[in-house]
Amino acid sequence: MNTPRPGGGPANAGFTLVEIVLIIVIAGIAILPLSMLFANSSIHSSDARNATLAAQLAQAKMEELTADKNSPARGFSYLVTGNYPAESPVTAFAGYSRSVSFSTDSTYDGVTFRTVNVTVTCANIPAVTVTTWFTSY
Amino acid sequence: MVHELLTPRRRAAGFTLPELLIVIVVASIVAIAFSAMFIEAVKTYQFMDAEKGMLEDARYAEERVARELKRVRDNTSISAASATTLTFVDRSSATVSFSWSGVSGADLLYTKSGSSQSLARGVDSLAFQYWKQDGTAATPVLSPSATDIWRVTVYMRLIKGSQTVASFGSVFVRSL
Repeated sequence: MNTPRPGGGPANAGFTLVEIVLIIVIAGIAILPLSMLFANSSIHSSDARNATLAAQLAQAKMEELTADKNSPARGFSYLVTGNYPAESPVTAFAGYSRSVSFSTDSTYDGVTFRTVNVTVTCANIPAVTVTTWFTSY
Repeated sequence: MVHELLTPRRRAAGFTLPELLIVIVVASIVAIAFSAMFIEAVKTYQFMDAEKGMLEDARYAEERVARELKRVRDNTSISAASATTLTFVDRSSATVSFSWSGVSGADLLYTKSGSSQSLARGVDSLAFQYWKQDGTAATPVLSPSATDIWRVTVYMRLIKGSQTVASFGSVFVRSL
């Protein structure tokens, strides 16, 4: 491709157009994921906050159930699915959904054990589930 | 000297001015592109740092309120219970109070036996809510009467610049 200059000697040792285009393409490919990394870090910067709040909302619901279980006005028999409808979204917390589920009871020595799961979901983070057992004792 | 000036010299093997200019222009374009990326990264860092600080404050305050509330002496110990103030006597007979002035940016104050300290900086919104044994909202009956409060929830939002972080806590007070 290189035409020898009138001065003679070896062909001019510069880059050809093809070489430069190649370099640009390779550099572009290398930089693209790097810039994506920055974009990703901004998108996920709120994940920690969302996960913290999700855990707080799950714990708060569990505390509510504990209060209900111990309440003279409610008690253990109040802990059934019908009394805890799913919240979507949770009041004052747009984007967060919360649900309460009960596993099949088990009985030991006349005491009923009820497993309770509180699950909170929010976009981009794994669902947060808090589990505990309540007894009829 | 004259001979030297007249003798045609070999061209010096350096960069020409246009070449240098091109290098400078190309280098500055690349630098601008990268600095934009760098500035973005710094902004993200500052955002996350502010958020981390507020999250820490909010979690600490929620935890502290919950733990202190579990030390309420009995059901006649609550002397003030509004959305922004909660005052009670604890098991060591000390008067404990949580209060926020209601002005965005003010601190959540914890007062025990007259001395105050800040639990959370820059509170944007705070709401204590009180619930009865049957789960309905309580319009708190206060000391010296026996209170109807069974459970307390705390909604808190902290602010720093234009960023906010919300938190929520629920406390079943066993001694009530």
